[in-house]
Parts: sequence; structure tokens; C-alpha cells
Amino acid sequence: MNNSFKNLFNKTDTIIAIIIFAMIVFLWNAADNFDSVSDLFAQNIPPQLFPQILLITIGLLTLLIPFEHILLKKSGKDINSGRKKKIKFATYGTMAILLTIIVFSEFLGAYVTIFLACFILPVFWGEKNLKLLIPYIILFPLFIILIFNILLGVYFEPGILEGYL
Amino acid sequence: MEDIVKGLSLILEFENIILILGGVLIGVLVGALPGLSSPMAIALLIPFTITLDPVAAIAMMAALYCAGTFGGSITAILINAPGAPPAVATALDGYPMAKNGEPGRALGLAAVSSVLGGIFSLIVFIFAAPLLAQVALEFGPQEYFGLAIFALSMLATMSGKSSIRNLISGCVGVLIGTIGIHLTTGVERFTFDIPELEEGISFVPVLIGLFAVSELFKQSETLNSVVDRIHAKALRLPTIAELKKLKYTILRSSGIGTFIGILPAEGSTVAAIMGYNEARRWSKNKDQFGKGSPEGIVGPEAANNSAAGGAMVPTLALGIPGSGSTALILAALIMHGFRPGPYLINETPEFVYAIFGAMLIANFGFLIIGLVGAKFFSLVAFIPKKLLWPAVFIFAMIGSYSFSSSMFDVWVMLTFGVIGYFMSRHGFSAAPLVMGLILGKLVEESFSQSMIIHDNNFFALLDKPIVVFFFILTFLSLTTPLWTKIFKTN
Repeated sequence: MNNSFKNLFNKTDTIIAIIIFAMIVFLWNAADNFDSVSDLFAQNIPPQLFPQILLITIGLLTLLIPFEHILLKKSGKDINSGRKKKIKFATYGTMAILLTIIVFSEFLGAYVTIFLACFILPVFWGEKNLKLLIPYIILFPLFIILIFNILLGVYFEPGILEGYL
Repeated sequence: MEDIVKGLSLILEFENIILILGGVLIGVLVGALPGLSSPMAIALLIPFTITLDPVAAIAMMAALYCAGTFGGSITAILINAPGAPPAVATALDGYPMAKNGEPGRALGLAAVSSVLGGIFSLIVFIFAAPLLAQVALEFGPQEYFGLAIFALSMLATMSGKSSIRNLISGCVGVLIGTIGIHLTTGVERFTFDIPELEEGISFVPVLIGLFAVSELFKQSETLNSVVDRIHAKALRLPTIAELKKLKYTILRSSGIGTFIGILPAEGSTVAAIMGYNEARRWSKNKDQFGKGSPEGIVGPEAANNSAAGGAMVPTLALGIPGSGSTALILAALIMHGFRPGPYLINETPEFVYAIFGAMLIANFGFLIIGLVGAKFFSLVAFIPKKLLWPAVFIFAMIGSYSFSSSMFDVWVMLTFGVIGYFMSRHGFSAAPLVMGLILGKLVEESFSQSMIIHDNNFFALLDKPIVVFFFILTFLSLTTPLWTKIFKTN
């Protein structure tokens, strides 16, 4: 493959296009397997028609993605500018922490989850100022409970605190 | 006239005024905090306003929307970090003026031009919305289909890196809207045997995920950034003589902003940039631009705030959002049981006038709040990110959960947060997806009805002149980059 041909494609965008196409194939197949209804009942507009029109549109637009960097470069935009830097560990870690918090939130209940989120996230992000951190961990959750649970009446699952509250 | 009085009396109730001022305060705060934005705040606010009276809820959100646009200019001027995208152009001259020792003057110019721009657009709104709604009353499903397609095509020109990616995001939003039971046939679509998906994906967790949680992930990359601040003791209002000098710039920018706002999908950011460019083009002191020119501040500020009022016109009159924030207000209207569009204005005009009143109060509200609290708002940008964003996450979690007391919605929020983060990283904007999601039902319903009316003959749609008009507009909006290039070459 010569260089000019290679330069036609943006590598990352080509991968994105392939992922989108895989999703389109998957969803197209799912749409094909919708329960069938008679034409008379569906008034000749079967339930899969509209989603499949959208999938075709998305597919056609996706075809342009690998080459779009050429057009954007001409208008002075760099599609790679936002993704040049590697995703930081802090971001992956944050995703993992949020996932963990949500997984355990049903068991722990809302009150403990709120305290936990106020503690884990700042500490993971490296907040070392205890004069700020300790009042924050104590006061902010209490403020949230006061506003939402007590004043606005939002139901908070007690979780492990059931029986104590 | 009677409807105007009714609407204004609704909004002048004590509780509503407090909520509007609360909305203004939240708006200025989130606007001033880099990373937080009006759409995010509206998304987080929606679930908590569901128990409020619809007038109060929408008024609060409309106030937040107006004030958020102004709030962004505070940090743009004082720390050269626009709190919200529409304030990007304000920083170009606002920050140099502040650095030249006149931060209070820069804030004053921004506040007053924002108020004037906002009032200008509200006057247009109060006349244009009912007229547009009157015209739209004649619309059948075919015309609505044409209009919705035009609105979707306008996503291409929405701010963001790439028109193609905006369109893909918009189509994905419409596709997400098809999840659940198909209304005509009762067939489950894309539910994958998950019972929670039968009723479709709720707007709220999607909006919160895309706007709040994805931003949290982005912010986790820049937790230790440090900014320099210019101390502003107080906001200093411009003199009458100064305003007289700037009147044409303010008027021109207000007109531009209102027009841009009325266009579906075009928001305050585009308006601000155009307002700035036009202010510079017409200025006699072009060389002062970038060095603290007053015209360089009032131009974008009048434009971005007038776009907020302009964007409410198609939102309320046609049910087509004029911007990302109004898409969220539209979602809130739907959740409160309204069907935005011509019937809303024709059947409950007092409701629309109440929103007009709320926005009017909000405009004066942020002027007063700006006068009193400019110093405080310049400080909020220094709230440590490491403490601010866990708070946003908690609001996001409570907001997603409380809407229907469902942990499934919390999962949807997190999923869309991760999706939104990767979308943004690869140049796909979240706002078109949200607009697609909100317009989805309208597009499919009007498409199906049009096809049934015309016996599945798509080309029969072209017999309708209004549909042809919208299709021509669609074609023009999709080919705008091409036309621009041709004109530039010539």
C-alpha cells in the first residue's frame, strides 16, 4: 500500500467506522427479527422500516468518516486534536470508581453511597488538603440529605442502614 | 392582551419569583464555573422540578438558561476561561480590558448588553411565536415531517468539529428514540428482552449522562489546572454616553443573535461568534479588537443572550428546539405533559406569556445579581475541581434515580456518560444526539402518518409546497459548506 493511499484514511476514524458498521449490522439483524405483524395491521409501515432507514442513513454518513480528516484539514480543523493525548489513568480510574459505587449502591443504600462518593473520588484524585476534605466529606452529604431527602422528599434507599434509621 | 396579563400574573406569584431568582442564581453559578454548563444544569434540574407546577418548573429552567449564558462571561472576563462556550468570543476583548485595569467596566458592559440583547429577543419572541404557531396550525403530518427533517439537517451546522459526525449523532438520537414498544403495532423494538426498555429509554438519565457524567470524565483529565484571576471589586455599569456609542453594535448583534436563535439547532455560541465578527467588521476602531474593545464585548454578549430568547420561538411555537438547552426545556415540557408546538400557544397562551415573563425577570435578575455578586462569582471558579465534581456526580445519581426510583436509570446515566465521553473525544457532539432523541418521536410519527396518507408514495409529499420549501431548506443547510466555499473562491 503506498503512502498517498494510506494518507487517505485516518486510522482511528477507520476503526470507529468499523465499530459503527458492526453496530449497524447487529441492529439491522435485531430489527429484522422484530415480531412480524400483518401489513394491514401495520398499515404498510412495518415496525422495522423507520429504524432501518435510520441505520442506512447512519451507514452512508459513516462511510465518509475515514476520509473526513482531509476535508476538515482544508477548513483548518484537526479532528485528532481532542484525542492526541492518551486517556489518563485518572479517567479510567474514575470510570471504575463510579461503576463500583453504582454496583454497590443498592446494597449500601443512598446515605452510605453519598458519603462514600464524597470520600473516594476526591481522595482518588489526590486531594490532600484535610482542612477542606474533612468538612466536605461530613457536611456536603448532610446538606444533600437535608435538601433532597428531608425537604424535597426524595426517597433514599436505606440499604445497610435499614433498621438503624 | 388578557392572556398576557394572565401569564404575567401567573409568573408574578411569590413562589414563582423565588424559583426564577433561584434559577438565575444557579444559572450564573454554573455559567461561571468552567466545565459546568446550562444544559448540564437543566438536565440535572429536570427530575427535581417534576413535582413543581409546570409554569414554575419551566420558568425556573428558562431563567437558568438566560442567566447561564451571562454567567459564562464572568470567568471569560476575569480569568480568560469562558465558563460556557457562548462566552468564548467575550474573552477575546473582555479579558484584555480586565487586564488593562478595568474588570468592573468589562463586566458592566457584558451585563448591560446581555440584558438589552435578551429584552430585544423577548420582544421578537412575544410577537413571532404566536404568528409562527398560527402558521404551524395549518401544518399536517407531511409539513411536520418536512420541518423535522429540516431541523435534523440543521444539526450539521451546529457547533462542533464535524457536520458529518453531528448528523450521525442526531440520527443515533432518533434511533434511540425508537427503543421500546412501537405505538402503531405494539411490537417491541430493540428491547433485547430487558423489561425496563419496553417503555423506551427515559430522557432524563440520557441527558444527565451525556451532559454531566461525560463532563466529569473530561474534567478528571485536568484536575490540577491552575488559573490566574483578575480581582474585580464590583461591576461598573456603562454610562449613557458610552451606551449611545455602542447602540448600533448592540442592536445589530441582538438582531443577529435573535435570528440565529430562531434557526433550529443553532445556539448561542454561533450567535456570539457572528456577533463578534460583525461588531469588528462595522467598527471604526478595528485595531482595538483583541486589546479590550468595548464593541468586542457588547457584540458577542448581546448576540449570545438574544439567541437564548430567539431559540425559545421554534421551541414553543413548533416544538422544534432552537438549541441544546432548549432541547432540554422541550424534554421538560413533554415530561410535564405538554405537547410543545402550535397547540401549546393557541390553547394555553398564558403559559407561553408566563415563560416570557420569567425570561424578562431573569434578564433583570442577573443584572442585579451581577451588580451585587460579581466579586463572589469570580471566586466560584476557584472551587477545587476535586470537590466540585464528586458533588456533580451525586446530583447526577440522585437526579437519575429519583425520576422513576429506578436503578436501571442510574445505569443508563453511567452508560451514556461513558458513551458521551468517547463521543466527545472523537469529535461527536452530545447536543445533536439529544436533539435527535427529542425530535425522534415527531419524525417517526409524522413520517408514518405521511406515508399512510399518501399510500406509501414518498414522492407524493412533493405535491405539498411547504414540504418542498422545507426540503429545499434542508438541501441548502446540508450543502452550506459547499456554497460557502464556492462564494469564497469567487
